[in-house]
Amino acid sequence: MAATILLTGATDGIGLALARIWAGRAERLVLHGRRPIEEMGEALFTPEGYCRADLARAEAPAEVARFLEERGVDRLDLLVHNAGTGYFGDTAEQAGRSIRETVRVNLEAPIELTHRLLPLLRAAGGRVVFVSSIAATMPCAEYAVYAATKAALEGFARSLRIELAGEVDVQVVRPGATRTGMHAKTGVPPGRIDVERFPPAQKVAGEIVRAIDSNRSRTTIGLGNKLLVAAGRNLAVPLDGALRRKERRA
Amino acid sequence: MKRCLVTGAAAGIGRALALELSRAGFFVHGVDVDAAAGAATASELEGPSDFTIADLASDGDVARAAAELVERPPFDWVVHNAGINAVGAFARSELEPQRRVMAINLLAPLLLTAELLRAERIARGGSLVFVSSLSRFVGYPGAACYAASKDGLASYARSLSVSLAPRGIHVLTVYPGPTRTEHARRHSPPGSSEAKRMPPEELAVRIRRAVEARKRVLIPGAANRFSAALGHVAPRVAERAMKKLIFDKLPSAGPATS
Repeated sequence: MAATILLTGATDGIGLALARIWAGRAERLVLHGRRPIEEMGEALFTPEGYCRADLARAEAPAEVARFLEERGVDRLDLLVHNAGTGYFGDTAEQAGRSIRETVRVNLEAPIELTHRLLPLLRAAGGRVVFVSSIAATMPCAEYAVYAATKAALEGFARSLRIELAGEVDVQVVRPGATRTGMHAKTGVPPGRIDVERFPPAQKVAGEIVRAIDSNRSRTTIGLGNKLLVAAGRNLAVPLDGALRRKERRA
Repeated sequence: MKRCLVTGAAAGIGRALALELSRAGFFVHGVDVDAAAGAATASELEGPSDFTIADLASDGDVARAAAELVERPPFDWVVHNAGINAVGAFARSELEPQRRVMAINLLAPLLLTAELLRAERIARGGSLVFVSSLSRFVGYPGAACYAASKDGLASYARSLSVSLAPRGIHVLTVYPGPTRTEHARRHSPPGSSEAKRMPPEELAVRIRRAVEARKRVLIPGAANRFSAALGHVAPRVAERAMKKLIFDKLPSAGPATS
């Protein structure tokens, strides 16, 4: 298990579940989130180990890097980009502000943070993990910008992996729908999906940890999701055609 | 008269497309950051045209361009062609040029498309064209942020091809490989051959025909189709080839020391 870990988006959902798993195992665990520490009831969140920064702001990656520097963290075995945001609805109705924020948080922030922390990762021969989504691999009529940022993140990870081969490992993990607050936050209308049917964050986080330990450069979490990704990749023509017909009927 | 919008219309593939569509009888509305080159292209067009000068990396300019465009009649074809690259090992690159790459190649098309759709400025039965890159299939070490932007654009186009189906708007994604443009010349490893690159005029004709045939995917040319197929069935082989052909030849490649 990695010695020094930095995890973004650790206050909710899959991130919080990952933090709970690593809390007992990592030598040093630094958590990032947007919420004030007073809101976080768990002993997991301490002033020394919790960095509060809003990744929608351009300064955030520099603030996170400074937080590490001030605490003498000079090597990183594992950097996990888990923080993410999204918008559910018609592309024409997503405001420019929301488009910018989604691109900022899901794509630019992890890229810039990776850039700033590469020396620390290199010092440890460490690993960067990008938490993507199965949305990156299929058409998402109501999540178009979100899916685009995740596909872009995977494209970045792929080329970076080739560039850094032998120095720093680069991995992508792709969860599918998970039982978290993300759906409500992004504006999925209540009743549209049954969140209770999705696997709990704790289970998904456990599988993500196993995927990271497996060394595979890309892992889709869950058998059903693996099938969806394979269909999105290999059956694009019939799948997209069927989705278009469904959309026209709706 | 049919109307088209072409971003990055002053040079390269965008210029070739503007000329091609003008010859085909379109009113061409170009967008570009380079006013002088834009005026030069406009003077070569055979029909009427208009130009919006905007730096698509700037939030303010994108908003201004969008405000200008939604005041015009709807466009039959909208071509998101504008793109830049910043080549070099990511570890050694400056962040600012990488931000510009993502802003122009990905964020601007997302913002402009949303504004045009909101104002119903893409005609019913019209076409939306996104110029992605062959890197979608083979990766692009030495241009990780460019690869990111083009993958994002391809994903967005695929989602819209579904969500816009009820409005009758057709979406085409183009995956050009090496093209004989000034842009490609600037970003290729020293000594690479020009002859194998597709002339932009040829690409422009292929794009026009693909839109007319309402195709959804265009990988222009047999060599590019072969590379894309290789990338699909044997991604690791394609990645190794890209590393050898591009990344290892870059002046800034090799393990960085910090």
